[in-house]
Amino acid sequence: MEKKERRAFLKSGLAAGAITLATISSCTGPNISEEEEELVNVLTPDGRLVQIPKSMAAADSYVPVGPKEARIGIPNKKFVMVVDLSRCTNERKCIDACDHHHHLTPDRPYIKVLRMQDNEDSSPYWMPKKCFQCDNPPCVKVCPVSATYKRSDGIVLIDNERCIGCRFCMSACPYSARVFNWGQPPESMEEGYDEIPYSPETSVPSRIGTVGKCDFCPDMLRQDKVPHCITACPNGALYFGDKLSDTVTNGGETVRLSQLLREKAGYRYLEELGTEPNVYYLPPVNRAVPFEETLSDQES
Amino acid sequence: MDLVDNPDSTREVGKSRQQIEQDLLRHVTKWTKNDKLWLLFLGVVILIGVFAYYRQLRYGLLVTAMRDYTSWGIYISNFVFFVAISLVGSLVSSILKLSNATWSTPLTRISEIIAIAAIICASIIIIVDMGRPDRFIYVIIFGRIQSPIIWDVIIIVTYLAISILLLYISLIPDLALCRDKLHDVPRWQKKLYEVFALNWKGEKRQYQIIHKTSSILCIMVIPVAFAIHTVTSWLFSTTWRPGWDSTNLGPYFVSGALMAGAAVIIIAMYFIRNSLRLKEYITELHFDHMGKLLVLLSAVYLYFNINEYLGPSFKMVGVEGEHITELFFGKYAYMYWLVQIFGLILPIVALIYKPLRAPFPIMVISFLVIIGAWVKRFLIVIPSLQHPYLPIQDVDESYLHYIPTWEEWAITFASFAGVLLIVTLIIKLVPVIPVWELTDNKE
Amino acid sequence: MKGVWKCFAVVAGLVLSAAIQGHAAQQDQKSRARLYLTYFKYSPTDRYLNIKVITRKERRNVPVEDVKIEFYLGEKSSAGYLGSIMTDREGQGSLLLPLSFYAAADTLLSYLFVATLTDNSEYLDTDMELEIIDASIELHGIVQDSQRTVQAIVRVRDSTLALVTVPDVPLNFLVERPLSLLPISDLKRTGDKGIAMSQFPSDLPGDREGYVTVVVKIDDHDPYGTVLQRETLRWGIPTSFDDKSQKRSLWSARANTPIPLLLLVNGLILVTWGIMIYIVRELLQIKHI
Repeated sequence: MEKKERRAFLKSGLAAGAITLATISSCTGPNISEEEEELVNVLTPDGRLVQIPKSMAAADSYVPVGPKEARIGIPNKKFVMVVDLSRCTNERKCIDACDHHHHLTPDRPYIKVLRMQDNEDSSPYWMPKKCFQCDNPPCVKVCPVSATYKRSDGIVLIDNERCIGCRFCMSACPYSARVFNWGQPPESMEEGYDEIPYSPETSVPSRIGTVGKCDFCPDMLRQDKVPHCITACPNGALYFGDKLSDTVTNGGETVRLSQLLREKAGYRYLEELGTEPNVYYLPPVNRAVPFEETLSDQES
Repeated sequence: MDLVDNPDSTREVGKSRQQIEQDLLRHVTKWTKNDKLWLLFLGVVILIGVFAYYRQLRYGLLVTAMRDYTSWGIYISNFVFFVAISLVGSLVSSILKLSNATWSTPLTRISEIIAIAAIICASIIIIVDMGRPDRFIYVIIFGRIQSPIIWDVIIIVTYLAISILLLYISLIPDLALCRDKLHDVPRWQKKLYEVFALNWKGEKRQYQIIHKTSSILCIMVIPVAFAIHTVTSWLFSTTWRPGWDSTNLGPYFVSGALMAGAAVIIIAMYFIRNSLRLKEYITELHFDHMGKLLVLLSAVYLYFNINEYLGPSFKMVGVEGEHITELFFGKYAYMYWLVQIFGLILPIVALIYKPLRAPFPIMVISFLVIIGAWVKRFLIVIPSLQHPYLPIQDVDESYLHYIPTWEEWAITFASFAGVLLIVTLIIKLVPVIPVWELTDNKE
Repeated sequence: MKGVWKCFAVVAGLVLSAAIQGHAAQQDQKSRARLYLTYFKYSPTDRYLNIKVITRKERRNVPVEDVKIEFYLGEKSSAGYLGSIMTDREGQGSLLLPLSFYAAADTLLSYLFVATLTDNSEYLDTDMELEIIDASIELHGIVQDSQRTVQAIVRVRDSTLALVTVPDVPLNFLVERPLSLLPISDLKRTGDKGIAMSQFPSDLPGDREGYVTVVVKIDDHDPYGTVLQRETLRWGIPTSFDDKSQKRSLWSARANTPIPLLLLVNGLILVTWGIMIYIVRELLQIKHI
């Protein structure tokens, strides 16, 4: 059997510019004798595509890591997000995409889009709010059992198999980023939901009596893909990237982080608290579309 | 130490040793009909709470009114309240003893019993508040010493151990008394006295050991007691919530606790005195002294209260200002002002007058203080959580307010019943007033 | 006899027409799927055909999952068969071009790829053709007077199959980043000699040693498809990764508790419980007096 190892870049059909590694593909032809098994491309943990017999490949291409491996960050990365407030028009597509991939019901989303107005005379604006993945995280400091922890790549995750449900982290978070499963999570009504193997990197499945929050989708990052909310935004308001390589992308456009923050006067929300968030905001100036009141219940 | 073993001659009990022993052992042997009804009542209240907790275990904390913003509710405020009450043990048996206030000797045991009961129920109520009580053991297995919760666990266990020791040391001679004098008690009870009396014979060296160890504990319990409530205050002051983000919170909590503790002692004195017919031992003088003490402690608490609110209300910064406005003029204003007036100003003003320091009026005032202290803790915990930095939008209507559900009330009342049950059971086992400290000093 | 035959012919005709109608009716119920075929040359020996299959449902484009797409070179015959894939959840799939392609490729001026969707119970048979002229990029990193420049030369085969440079080909100059490709200049076009140049920024972070992979790309071009050429250069600023999660702090794991806190808390516990143990031992002495 011929075993090819190739590192490969595939341009996904329509997502311009975005590079995706991967997808199962098979490679059979008339010139290959019939005894030989069909080969499939799979992605190795270090990001290479290798072809292995189909029988050896898992049914789906990627299996999220378990609670133990999830404590170790993706090596040599420092993830950041930039939110361009001038582009957000409260379309709520990021919330939908996040809810969909985290199996959340609309009543307890991880992402909120808030209507903000800094003072009476200034214009209101929409502020998408995720977990800020602080570098000095108040929530992690107070956790009595290390159920929530900060990784080397800057991401703050929750192990809901460790969480004791004391909710100290919720009190400690100045950004109200955390949600609690007060009862049986409504999504657990979904068929097969409880059989999904738990991974802190996907935050699925949620468990009663434990805390949840935006996780920056490390399962996607491990596959060299950006989080779901980034690609879902129709306005390209959300940028995501690696601070060490000074690059962020909104799915279409890829720019230097330092340049973006410098040119558009990027800031971090409540910098004075010293939490050192990894989410930056670009002020809501020079908007393409003027602010429009959208009723919050229009989302569905 | 002199302070401990030399109660002065102010003892009003002009009775013989035999008479004292008879008076003080009476309530241990007899189970009156009222006692049984009282126990039945407490049992029913606790059972209702247990049923409510069963519902909470089954359906999750969804049965409470807590939601993502008000993520801590009356369980936590009740926990803070019980921790506050538990400081009473150190107040009477240590601070008063060390300051030579020997009149307080008959009150030491009551206060120590209440302290132990309160700290046990505080521990229970904090487990009730957990989303995953089944994982309580993780606190020990995975405990991170950086977390104030772990500090709280350590200090609660330590304080409970010290309180039990403190109670036990002063009990030894009385347990021996029970062992020798009580004959018509069940076998297990007799056995209990025998084992825990530690072969006490009233030898001089035995007394020496008791005096030495209790002196050490008396001193040690003060920093530990301050620590238990200060650490509890740190659960709040280590966050950025308005009203919690304060350097004043530790002394504010401790002073409030001492005040509430004094009020609890007064109430306990009143009911024990009346129901156990101990009027000669807990006299009007005790109420008078405790009244004065309550005035002092209330004044201290008032001082810290002013400190807590003046700065923020002068500056009115952002959410801190919103929080202050809510307390002073908003939906919590009626609670806030009732607490300040009846729970703080009234005791100071009223108890200055001697007639109001008589047993009944001071008991009523102390009740107001206690209710005020409980509501005060509600006001410390809940409104702060309702003023986050980012606006509360796009949430279910139930997230916007907090009105405790019947399950929360049932569990809260059950915890009160639990305190009373523990106190009652201990009083039915041992003399509530230290007999030996009264009799031995008569000789 | 003749009548019998006539009768048979009529019956056969009816049966046949019914069968045709039935087939037509079945065809009518099938939806129309659209194929988007793109060619991707990552390196001379790494080439892919990417397919995206979508359909219209309730006025929206939705990806078609789990359909088999077959690929051919030149004609739909077993000789031209390249392989097949099943589309994934996004309706996409990629085929790594097999060795049989490379055997045929050297003699062709251009490649005609055909992707087909056939014999599917839900979708109509569909073909998509794509004609590609093979282009190659040569990439150089040039340092002159401390100015770093990336130079790219684009070549195709002429009618004699000899390589010649081509002008006016749009080129993207990019660098590889963890989640995407970062442009280092605007779109450039090759000049008369088939050459395009881009300056390399002086402040771009590389890996730990300063290596950066430069990518020059012809993006979705007709008739070249997408062609990439990569070159790893030591032109970036070396970055050091500071793993704060392994340092002692209030937010780190239990193993990284700050030493002063550890000493203080354990010291207090030892002192307090030490005294209590002493007291208990003293009390036990009472028993033996």
